[in-house]
Amino acid sequence: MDKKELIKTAHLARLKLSEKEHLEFTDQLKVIFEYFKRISSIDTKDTLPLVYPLDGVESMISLREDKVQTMKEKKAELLDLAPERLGNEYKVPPVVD
Amino acid sequence: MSTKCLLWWIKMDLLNYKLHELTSLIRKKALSVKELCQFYMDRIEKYNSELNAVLTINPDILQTAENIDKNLNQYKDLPLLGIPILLKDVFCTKGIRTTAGSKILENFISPYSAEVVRRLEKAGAVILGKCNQDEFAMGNSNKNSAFGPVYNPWNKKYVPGGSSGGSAAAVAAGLCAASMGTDTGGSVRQPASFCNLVGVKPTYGRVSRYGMIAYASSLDQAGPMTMCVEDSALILESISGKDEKDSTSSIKEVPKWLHNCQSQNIKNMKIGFLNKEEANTSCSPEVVQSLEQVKTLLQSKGALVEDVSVPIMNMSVPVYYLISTSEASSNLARYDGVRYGYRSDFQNKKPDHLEEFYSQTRKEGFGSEVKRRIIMGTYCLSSGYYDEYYNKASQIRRIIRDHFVKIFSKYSLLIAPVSLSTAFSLEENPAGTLESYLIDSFTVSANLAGLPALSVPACFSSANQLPIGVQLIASHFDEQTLFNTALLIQEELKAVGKRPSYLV
Repeated sequence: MDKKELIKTAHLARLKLSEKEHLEFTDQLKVIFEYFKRISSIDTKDTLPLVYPLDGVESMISLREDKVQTMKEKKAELLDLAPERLGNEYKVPPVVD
Repeated sequence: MSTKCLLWWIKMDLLNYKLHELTSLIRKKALSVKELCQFYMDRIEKYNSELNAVLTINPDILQTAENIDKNLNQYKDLPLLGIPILLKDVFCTKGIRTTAGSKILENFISPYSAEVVRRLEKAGAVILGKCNQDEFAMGNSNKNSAFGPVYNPWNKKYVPGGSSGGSAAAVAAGLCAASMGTDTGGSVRQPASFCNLVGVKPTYGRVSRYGMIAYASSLDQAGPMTMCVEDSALILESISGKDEKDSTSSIKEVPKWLHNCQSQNIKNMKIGFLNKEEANTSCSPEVVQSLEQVKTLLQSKGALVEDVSVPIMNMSVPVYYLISTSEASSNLARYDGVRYGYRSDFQNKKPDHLEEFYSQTRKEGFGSEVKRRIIMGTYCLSSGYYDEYYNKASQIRRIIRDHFVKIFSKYSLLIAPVSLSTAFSLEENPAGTLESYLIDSFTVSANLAGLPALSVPACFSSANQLPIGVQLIASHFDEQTLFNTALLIQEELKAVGKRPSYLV
């Protein structure tokens, strides 16, 4: 990962980095990804990706019915957690003049 | 002995009781829950300033304890009756702040409790408070915390391990009867090894993740950290089982692990020892020696011990970091300063657009290791790199998992190092280096494959006198074999239960 890619990635992650972090991360991630590239040596032709670790091992997974559950009784509590709110809405600083 | 004398004797010795012995004292009214809580609170008061293991004390603890004491008849059959437990600060607790070791959640008070917490309380435990940890469970040293590092009670110049470092240091120092940690790539087992504790990462799906702040959802599992094997079995039994609120939790029946826990008769049992050379990194001589000691013990008890080759193991660290950071970049996208948590006050200038608002808040709220991992994960998932990194890693994950399944068709148990060495000093292994990630070489495979694994104390290093644990890995849902073999190691090697002498 070079500096240009780092800037692009930080933007995608909505993460502002300091100049010091830019320099540090570029150096560190270069070494780390260089090491990680070794995975390309493994033949994975016809291998399906595994996301759920018990996929194919544990058949006893049970999903609940796809029905909406509300948390209406928690509404006030949830809103109270907001750094800023206006009535029943979340407030963010004005971003356009 | 007079009653008064007996009570004095019990209280002097409180640190040496197993959990089921403590509950029995409470049942017999030889000890009140309030006295037990006060005992630990006094120790926190005395020792925590030098360890930095505990972040928050439950403000209602004494009232809760009194309530149990007053209504003892109603609660007396509960398996964890009156047991004071500390939680890693990643478990949401209604009414007690939950920080995940991060500035971004510094003042966050969850409107609900994690299912683990609900089950602990239902089983009679009392939540004593919350423990320090690596920020969002990212790390293996507990140096990555917004609230400062935790110091290893065995030697304060050393780390306690991580990410559940506060939970480990707290149990080792006797600041609670037991604690809860979480393990995404070794975060229960490695600090357990560094602090002379038993630490269990159960099978993926055994324990509900509801209300547990997510790092990497397909790898995270909660597990107990305790002074002995029996305590871990008892706690795990109380928190396991299907939860409707976590669709990945398993409906598999939860065995009576403690009741069935007996020193394993291992005559003719086939036990594999992981070939350490294949991990692309090397273990310290003390770690190699600890494994030899365990091997000799198991052979002397009649086990059929063989070396097992897992060549794909040398891919486990890259695969783990590519997958876990990818999942983390998605899981941590929710911290945006709008609905809860920290928000930048934009002192210098108001943001020009919403994007600036998010990125400034996240810049100020997250620590540097978290930022590094968010960047890594975002990169792996970004257009052009998805196939090369995330998808490829997920394919190799299947190869690793299938390899372990095959091993367990032949062996009942696999034994491996927990970490490369004993605890390391606070200056060693700075964050962001490849070396700091390679420390996880022997623990991440169990998470990738969803297997249960346990760390049990084996011996102490002759070089620095710090504890060393060994890791037992079993087939999916076979925690019983872990407990039974660990009990044998506990009884024969006698490292389990030891504490630093100044803390006794």
